[in-house]
Amino acid sequence: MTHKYVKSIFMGYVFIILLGAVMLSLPMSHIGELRFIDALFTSTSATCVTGLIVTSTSENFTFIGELIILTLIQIGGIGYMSLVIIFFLFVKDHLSFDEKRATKLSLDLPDLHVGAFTKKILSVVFIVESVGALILTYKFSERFEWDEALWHGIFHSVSAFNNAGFSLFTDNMIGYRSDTLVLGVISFLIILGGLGYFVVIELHENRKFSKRITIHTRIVVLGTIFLILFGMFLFLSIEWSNPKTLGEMSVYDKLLNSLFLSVNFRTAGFNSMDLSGLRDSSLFYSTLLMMTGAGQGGTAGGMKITTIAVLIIMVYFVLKQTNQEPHIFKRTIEREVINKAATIIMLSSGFVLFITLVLLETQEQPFIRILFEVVSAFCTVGVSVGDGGILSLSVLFDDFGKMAIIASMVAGRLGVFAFGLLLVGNAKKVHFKYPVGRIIV
Amino acid sequence: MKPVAVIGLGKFGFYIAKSLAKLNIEIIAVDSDMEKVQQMAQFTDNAFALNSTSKVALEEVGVYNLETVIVSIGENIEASILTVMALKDLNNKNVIAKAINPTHGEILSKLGVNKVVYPEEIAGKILLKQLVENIKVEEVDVNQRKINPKDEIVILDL
Repeated sequence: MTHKYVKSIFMGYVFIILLGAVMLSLPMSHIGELRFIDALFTSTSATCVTGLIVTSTSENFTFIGELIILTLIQIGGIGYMSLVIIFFLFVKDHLSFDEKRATKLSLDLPDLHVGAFTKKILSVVFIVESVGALILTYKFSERFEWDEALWHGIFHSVSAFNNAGFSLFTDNMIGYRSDTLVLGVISFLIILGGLGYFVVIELHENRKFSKRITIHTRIVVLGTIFLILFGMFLFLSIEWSNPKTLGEMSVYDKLLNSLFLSVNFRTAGFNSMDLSGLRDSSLFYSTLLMMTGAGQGGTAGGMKITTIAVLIIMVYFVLKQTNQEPHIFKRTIEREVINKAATIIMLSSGFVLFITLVLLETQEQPFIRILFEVVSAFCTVGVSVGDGGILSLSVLFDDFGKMAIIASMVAGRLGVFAFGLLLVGNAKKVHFKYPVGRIIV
Repeated sequence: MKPVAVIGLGKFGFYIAKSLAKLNIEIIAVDSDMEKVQQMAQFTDNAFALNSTSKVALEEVGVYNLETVIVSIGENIEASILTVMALKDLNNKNVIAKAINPTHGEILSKLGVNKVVYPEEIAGKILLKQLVENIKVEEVDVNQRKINPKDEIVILDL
C-alpha cells in the first residue's frame, strides 16, 4: 500500500519538475540562451526548495520566468500532495480514506484531520508570507520603484519562508549584510518555515499552553534554538579574524552575519558573505549542520532535528544500561521510530558519500567544495562556495555532474526513506518469526 | 527428499524434531511459543514462531505439499483441530497427529489424519513390556496372601 503512494508522490514531483523545466525553456521565460539541462537544474532546485543556481535568476530570466520559479518554490514548499488535497477540497467535500493516507505520508504527519489541517497550512503560509513581503517591500522601496520593490518583497518572502534561498539580487544578500531588519525578517521566515507546519500549527492552537506540548514540538523548538546558537558561536570563533569573511566587519555585524549564516546553513541557502572565503573547518562543520536540517513536515531538508535527537537519546540509554525504554520529557520513544531514525541516517550518509565519491572522480574540484555542494543539494539548503562569480559551484560541473546534483536534490526533498522504499520495494506482511541469532558487537 | 514438518514443540514434538535433525533429515519446526523455537534453533535452520492454525503462515514457511507432517499439539484441542484442517487444505499427504484422549483422536481421524498417536499410551505399553520381561513373575494365589497395596497400584497405573 505504502509503496503505491510513495510512487505516486514521486511521479508527481518528477512531473512538476519536468513541467517547470519545459516552461522555463520557453522563449518568453528567459533572456538569451538557456540549455535544457540548466532549465531542468533550475526547475529542480526551485521545486525541491534548494536554491542552487547555474544561471542568474534576475539576469537570465524574464518576469514570467521568475514567476514560474516562484510558483515552483511555493508548490515544492507546501508539498505537492497538499496541493492535490486542496484541489480535492474544492471539487468534492470528502476525501477517501486512501487519499487522506497519501497526504499524511507526503507530509509525514501524525494523526490529524487532513482537510482541516490543509486549510490551516494554507492560512499560515498566506499570513506569514504576506507579512514578510510587506516588511521587505517597505525596506526594498528605498532602493527600487514601488512595483519592483513589491515584486522583490514577495519573491524574497516566499523564497525565505519556503527555505529556497533563491534571490533576485545578483549578489544574493551580500548587499544587505549590515541591514538588521532585512536579515532579521528573512531569518525569522526561514526559521518559521523550517519548524514544520505541525509545530507552527500546534504552537498556534495551543498558544495559551492549556494542553501539554507534544515532545515532537519540544524537541524541534529546543533543537532549533540550540543549533542556531551553536552554529553562530562556531562560525564566530572560527571566522572571527578571517579577512575574507567576518574579519573586516564591526562586532555587531559579526554577530548579525554569523547568526544569519547559522540560520541559513541548516536549511535556506541565502548568503550575506562570500562563502568561498570560509575556512575548511567552517565548511566541514556546516555540512554537519546542513545534514541535521530542521523540523519534519516543513520546508526544510536534511535528516531533520528529530531524527538526530532520537538517535542521541537512544545512545544515551544504551550507555546508561538501564532496562527502561528510551524516553524524553516523560514519554517513551517507540522502537519503530528509533529504527526509522537509524535507517534515515544510514541511507542519507550513504547517499551523500556515494555522490561525493562519484563527483570527486568525474569533476576537477577540491574535496571539501564538492562535499559542501553535494550536502547542500541533498539537504536542499542551496548554499555553495560558488564559481568565483555569482553562481553555484555546480555550474562548473559537466552535464553528468549536474544530473548527479539534480538526483541529490530530488532524493533529499522526497526523503531518503521514501526513496529507499522505491528502490527496495514493498515488503509483504509475514506471519512468522525467526528465532533470535546471537551476534557479538 | 521433502522436509518433514513438526508442528508443536512440546516434549513429544521437540524430541521428534531433534532426533530427525540429528539423523540429517530436513525438518521444518514450528511452534507458537518463541522460547521453544529458540531452543530448537540450535538443531535446524528452519525453526519458526507462528500461529499454526493460520494457513497463510504455514504456507509462508513452506508447510504445503509435504510428504509427512507431525502435529504434536496436545493441551489445546481447538488449536490441534484447526491446525490439522489447515494442513489438509494445504495438500500435505501424510498427517500424523497426537491426541490426548480418545474423543480427540476420533475427531482427528474424521478430519483425515492418517495416523493418530496417543504418546502416553505408547509410553505405558513400552514400560509395561519392560516390566513384564524383566521381573520374574511369581505366581501367587491372591486369595491366600495378603496383598501389598503398593504393588497393585504400580501395575494399575500403567
